[in-house]
Parts: sequence; C-alpha cells; structure tokens
Amino acid sequence: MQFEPRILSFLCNWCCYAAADSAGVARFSYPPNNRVIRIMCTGRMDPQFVVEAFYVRADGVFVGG
Amino acid sequence: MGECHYQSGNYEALVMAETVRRILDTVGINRERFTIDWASAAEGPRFVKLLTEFTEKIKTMGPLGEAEGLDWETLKFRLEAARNLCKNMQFRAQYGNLAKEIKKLGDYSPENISQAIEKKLVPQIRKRIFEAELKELIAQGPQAVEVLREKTGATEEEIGAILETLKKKEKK
Repeated sequence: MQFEPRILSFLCNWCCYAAADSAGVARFSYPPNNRVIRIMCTGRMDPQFVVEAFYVRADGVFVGG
Repeated sequence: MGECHYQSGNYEALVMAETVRRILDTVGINRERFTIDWASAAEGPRFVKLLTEFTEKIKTMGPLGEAEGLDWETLKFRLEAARNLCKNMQFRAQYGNLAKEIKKLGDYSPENISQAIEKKLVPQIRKRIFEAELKELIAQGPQAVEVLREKTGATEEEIGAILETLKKKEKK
C-alpha cells in the first residue's frame, strides 16, 4: 500500500484560504491528504501550533498566507 | 509578501517559521516537513501547485520519524519537551521580545532573522528542551551517557553542562 501522508495546513483567511476556495470553484484538483485549519492571518501562527501538529502525528505542516 | 490583509502579518510569520525550524532541528525532525509559502486570493493554481509539491515531498520522505531514524516513542518524548517549551512563559516572552525587536528594526531578510534567532533563541531552545528531557530521564533512575545522548539528541558537552547545573540546583 502506498504511503498517504497526513498534512495539516494552516491557511490565511484572506490569501491561501481564498485561493483554495477559488481553486475548488475552478475545479482544479489537488491531493486529498491535507486537512485545513483556517486562521485569520499567518501572523497568528505560533510555534506551539506546529509542535502540537507533529505531536498528534502529522507528517507535514503547511502554512499558507 | 507585503500584500497581507494585515500589512505585516506575513512578515511576522517569518520569525515564527524560523523559530519552528530551530525547534524541529533540536527535536530531530527534518525541517523540510514544515513549510511556509504565499499565494494571494487570486492565485488558485499557484496554491494547488504549492500543495501538490509539498505533498509529493512528504510522500517521498515517508512517515514522521521513519525518515529521521527515530522510533515514535523517542520522538514523542522529545516532542513533549518541545511542547512544554512552547508553553513556557519565559520562553514565550523571549520569543515575543525578539519578534518585537525585529519588527522595530524592520529587517525581515532571511539572513537577519536566522542570525537573530541563532543568537538569542537557539541556545534557549536547546537548553530548555534538553534540560526537561534529562530531568525526566534521570527521574527514572541512573542512565548511561550513551542512552541520554540517544534519547535527547544532545551532544555530550551539552549533557554535561546541563547535568552540572542540575546538580548545583539540587545542592541549594
């Protein structure tokens, strides 16, 4: 069986989250491995969020602003 | 960059990103597992590209810990120390002050951020994480230096220095 990574992504409400939305509307396809958490700004990110993500066994963390 | 809805939000995220990379280095997780990138609201295709590339990279890397050559138990043990570090108020204040300082000077070049963190934060990160780990290990009974090194990923000198300070504290 192929390894399917678990990726946690933190997306900025105004940038990447909207981009992800528009990509969906335009019917682009992208890997289904990521789980999205919407944040109001990448400046809200805290090192703790990322450490916590790895602690619950995420294989990768993507921050998009 | 600089197009942020909140003016400087994504610049401030850069300081966070570098801090995270240093923590991951200390814990022994490949820093490539964490990425930060930019795509504006109009750049759907770019977002798709970024995410696809990142997913591919993680896929080739394999599951967390496996690529790093660490079993989950060790990794969990280290991540727990890292978690406590992130919750530690003293460390958070230091991190906040550094972020403020960088903001005041307004130099968000990667070199500058990396240098400032290397100087001010990395010693703290390593010391605090290793100290917490060592305390935990020693509480379980006497340990060989080899075991300590394997479990924490610290160098022998670092372990020596921390044990020394722990001893001093005990005497008091």
